[in-house]
Amino acid sequence: MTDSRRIQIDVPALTRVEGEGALHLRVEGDSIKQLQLSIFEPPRYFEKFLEGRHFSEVPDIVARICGICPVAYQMSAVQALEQAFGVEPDPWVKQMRRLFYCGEWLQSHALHIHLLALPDYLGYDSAIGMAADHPEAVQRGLALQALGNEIIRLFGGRSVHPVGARVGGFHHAPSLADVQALHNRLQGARIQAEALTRWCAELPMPDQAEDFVCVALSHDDQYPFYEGRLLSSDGLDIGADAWEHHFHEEHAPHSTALWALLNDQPYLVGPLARLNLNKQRLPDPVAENLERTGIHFPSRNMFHSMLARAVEIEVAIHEAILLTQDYRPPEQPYVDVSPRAGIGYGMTEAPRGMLWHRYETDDAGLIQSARIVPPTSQNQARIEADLHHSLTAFGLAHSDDEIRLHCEKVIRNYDPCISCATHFLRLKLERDA
Amino acid sequence: MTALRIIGVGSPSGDDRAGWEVIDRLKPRIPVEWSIELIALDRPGSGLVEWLANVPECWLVDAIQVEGVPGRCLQPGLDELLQADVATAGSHGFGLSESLNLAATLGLLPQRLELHCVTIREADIFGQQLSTAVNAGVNGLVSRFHERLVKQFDHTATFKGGVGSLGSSSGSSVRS
Repeated sequence: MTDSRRIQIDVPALTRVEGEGALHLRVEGDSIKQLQLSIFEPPRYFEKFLEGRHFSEVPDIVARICGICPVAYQMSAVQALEQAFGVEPDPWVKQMRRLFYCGEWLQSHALHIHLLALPDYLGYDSAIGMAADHPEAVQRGLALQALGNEIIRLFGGRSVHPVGARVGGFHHAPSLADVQALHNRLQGARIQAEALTRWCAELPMPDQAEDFVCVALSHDDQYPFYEGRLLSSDGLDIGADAWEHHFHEEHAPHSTALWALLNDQPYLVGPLARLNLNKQRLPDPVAENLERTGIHFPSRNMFHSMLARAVEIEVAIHEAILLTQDYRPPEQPYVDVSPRAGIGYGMTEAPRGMLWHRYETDDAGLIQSARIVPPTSQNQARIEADLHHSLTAFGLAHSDDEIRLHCEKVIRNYDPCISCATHFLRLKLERDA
Repeated sequence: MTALRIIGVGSPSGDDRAGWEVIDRLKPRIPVEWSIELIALDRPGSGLVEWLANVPECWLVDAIQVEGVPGRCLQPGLDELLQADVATAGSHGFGLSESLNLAATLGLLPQRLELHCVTIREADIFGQQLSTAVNAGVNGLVSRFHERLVKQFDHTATFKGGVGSLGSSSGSSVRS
C-alpha cells in the first residue's frame, strides 16, 4: 500500500489583483493533473447596455467598465465610432488623446508596480507593510500615480471615470497655464522614472524562459498607445477590422469571462508583449537606460513584465513631455460629427494590453450592437499555460504556502483586471501522492 | 497656503455621494479669503494619500455603511480606523482605512485630521439622489462645519488681526 495524502487549501482572497477569481490546482505526485483559473464575477452586460444608446453616450458609459483604465475604454470606443461615421480627428485631437493615454499608463503602471506587485519581490504581504521599510519606493510610486491622475483630470475632469472625451475629440481643452505647469512636473518626474527602471532591473526575478506568442499594436514611428496595426510575434499584421477573422472567443466552463484565442492558441497582450514587439520604437533615452540594465528584450521571461511596465512609465513621461512642450489650446477641441449607419472598429493599448471594440450604428447614431474584448480575457488562457510551465519549473516539492505565493506572483505578472473581464483568488489545492 | 483642506470622498451612487454633497453645499458658503480648500474625490483609493499630504489640517468626510439609522454623523477615531481589517484585495479594495494606514506609515498624515462619517444603508446606494435621511444628515453636517469655520475665522481675525488663516479647531478631532 502506498502513502496517500490529499491537501486542500482555500485562500479566501488573491490579494493585489483587480477583481475576483479562483485557482483550482490538483497535484498527483510530481505532476499537475488539473489547473484552472476561474473568473466567477458575474457578467456585467455592458455591451447589451449600449444597445439603443446614442453614440454620444458611449464614451461615458464604457468609462464605467474600469476604474483603473477608463481612458482605454473611451479611446477604443471613440476610434471605432469615428470610423463608423467616416470622421477623421485632427492632429491636435490625436496628440492630446496620446497625452491622455500617457496619464493612464502612468497611473496604472505605477499603481501595479508599487502597490500590487512589488511586495512579492521584497517579501511583504501588502504595500502598507512594505511602506515601513521602503518608504521612498512607495512614495515614488504614489508620486508617479498622482502625476498620471493629474493628466487624466486635465482632460477628463476627474481621474476616475473621466468625462472629458467625446466622439470627435474632447469637450474641453486644458488651458495653456495648466499644461505648462504639467510640463514642469513631468520634467521633474523623468529622473524618478529612469531610476525606477534601473531599480526594477535589480530586483530578484525567477529566471524562467518560455515560449509564447506576443500580440500588440505597432506603429511606424511611435511606441503604440492609440494607433497602429495589430502584430503578433508569429507574423500576424492586421487592421482592427480583421480581428474577428483571426481571433475567436469561447466560453470555458469554469470562467464567466470569455477566452480569446489566436489560431486556437493562447497569446499574450500587455507591457511585455508590447515591448517585445516594439523595442525599436522606444525613444532613444529610454532605450539607452534599458540597455544599461543588461536585460535584453525581446524577453521570454514573464517576470520581466514588471520591468516592461517601468520602461513604459519612462515612455509615457518622455512622450508627455514632448506633447506638452509646444501646447496651444485649439479654437475647438473636437471635430464635428454627423452620425450615419455603419460599422466601426477601434483598438488601442490599455495598460494591460490591446483593447478591441466594434460598434454598429443606425442613421441616427444609435448603437445597434457592441462588442468589447478586454485585455484580461485575452490573457486568461496564457495565464493558465504560464502557471503550468512556471509551477513545473518552480517544482512542486514546496509547501502549499510557497506554491500559492508562486502562483499569485505568476498571475500578478499579468496585472489582471478581472472586473473588466467580466477580486481575489481562491486557491484550492489538492495533492494525491 | 491652504490652512485647511476639507475632502469629501464618495461616488455617484445614491447615498454614497454624501461626502460630495457636503463639499457642494459648503462651497458657496466659504469666502475665498479663508484659504480653505474644498475637494470632492471619486473613490480615490491610494490616490487619497496625495491629498492628505502637505496640508496642516484636514477634515475628511465619507459615507459609512451601517445596518442602523441612516443620516447620522459619526466621528470615528483614527486609531479605530487604522486598526480596522486591512483588505488588500487589489486597488479596487484600497479604501479609506488602507489609505490612512499607508499615509500614517509614510508619515504623510496632516498634523491635524478629523474624520466625519455620514451613515448610509446598503439599500440606498442606487440612483442619483440622496435619501431623505441622508440629505438631512448632510445638511446638518454642513451647518456644523460652517458654524465652526465662522467662529474660528472670527476668532483668528479678531485676535490675530488678519485674515486668511485658521486657528486650531475647537471641535472634537483626531490627532495623528
